[in-house]
Amino acid sequence: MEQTRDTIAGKAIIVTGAARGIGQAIGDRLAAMGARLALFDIDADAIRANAGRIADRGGAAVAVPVDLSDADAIVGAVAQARRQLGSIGGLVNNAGIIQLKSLADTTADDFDLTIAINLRAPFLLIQAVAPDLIEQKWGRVVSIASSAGKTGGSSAQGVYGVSKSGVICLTKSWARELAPHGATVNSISPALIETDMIKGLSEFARHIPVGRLGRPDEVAATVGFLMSDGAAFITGEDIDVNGGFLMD
Amino acid sequence: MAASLDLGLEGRVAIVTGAASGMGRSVAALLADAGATVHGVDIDADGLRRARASWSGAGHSAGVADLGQVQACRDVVSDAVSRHRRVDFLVAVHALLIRKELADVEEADFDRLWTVNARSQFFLCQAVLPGMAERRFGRIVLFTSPGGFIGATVRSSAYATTKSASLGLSRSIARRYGPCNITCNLVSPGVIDTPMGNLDLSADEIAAIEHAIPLRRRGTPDEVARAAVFLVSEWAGYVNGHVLVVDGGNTMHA
Repeated sequence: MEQTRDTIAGKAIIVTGAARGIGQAIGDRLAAMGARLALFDIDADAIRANAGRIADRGGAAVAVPVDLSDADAIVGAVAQARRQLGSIGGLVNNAGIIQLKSLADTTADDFDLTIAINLRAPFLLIQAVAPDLIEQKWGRVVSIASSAGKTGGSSAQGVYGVSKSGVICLTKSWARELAPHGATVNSISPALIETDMIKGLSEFARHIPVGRLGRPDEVAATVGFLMSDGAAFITGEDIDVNGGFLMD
Repeated sequence: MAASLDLGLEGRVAIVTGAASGMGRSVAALLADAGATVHGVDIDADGLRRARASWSGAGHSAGVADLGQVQACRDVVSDAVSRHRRVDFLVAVHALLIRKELADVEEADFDRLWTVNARSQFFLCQAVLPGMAERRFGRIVLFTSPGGFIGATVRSSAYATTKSASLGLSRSIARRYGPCNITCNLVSPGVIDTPMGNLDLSADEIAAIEHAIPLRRRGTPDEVARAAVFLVSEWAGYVNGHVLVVDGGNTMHA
């Protein structure tokens, strides 16, 4: 399995939220698999630095700064990635935000912002790359959902779980629509991964059967699997990467 | 940090059941390719001999067993341990299918399906877990079926009944043995082009089934085997208690 190069080698793949944490690890993993990457993030300096590190290791990556709450900017960013890398072969929707607010305190603007970045942006990004995937009769889309999308998450996470529940359903709807064209669409539901987003929650490790938090590279490895030829018959699936925290 | 693409299978010892044909045969061949030592098990001695000839590398072993017998399950594990000193992976692919309408299933059919499909998984796990716990490493992958979750589709109600039992077993192991660095996951293949999958299906039935699958085709044994290999690999070290569906989008149940 590791001896053969997967079809993803040489393909142009967009990774959103690629500045740090899970998205940064996904960029590193897909670059190691030979993909040519467009790193999307609002933090331009960080993705430029990450693209530079990937290039230093012999990989290929371009930085595309973008605000994913802006629908026009998303279309423009995909066009820029296409200009720089050619036809897009895949997409990882990883970017996401959590607003630590109870539902009672969540305003209409808060709600709209979380939904725009966590759910509307993945929808618009898949829609923007779909013509490329259909034309190539091959494609891989992986979206990072969350166990919160199935449980509602903690009481402090407010509307985050709602947005991630949407990502799981969005995945299945796109999977159905793109399957006849040879493109697979899947999601991954992590829980409690050691990133800036969940700093200070390490006491939750005792609720996880394997007894520890997950690492960003462990989520990235599952993205790598779903992007590989070995996963060609897997579509519309949500893979839990949570150490057994939630077995639904 | 550069990401390592190594699957971490080199030198691992794997029991693969149902290794003579179909998906089990693919799992054994892929693990051998990746440098693991395979102990293949099947009730079909001739098929097992032919399959074993396709495993690359040296040091593999094979044993004929009827896993419908509890003692045979225990013997499989002790046989593998005596040959290879330990077992790192258990991939239980073996299964029996009797294609009958629910109304036509006889007591003997049910008992045979239950002992071969469900009871064997339990006692294979029971036999393999103490050694894994002692060494604080183990990867268990059991095969289930979407029919066990959404209900049987084509004349396989009793089979589906045995396959839902895999869920309670795998998650009990995931919870109880997670602290010992043992993960347990399920692979749930949809309609796959294997001798068992095609059993007693007409060409018209196969065509109708394929038309209903979003990817418009049956899966190949290799496509399922790679999902199982992923789950025992270092790529999946934090995946525990999961059901990995490989069905071309046919069910997409939550």
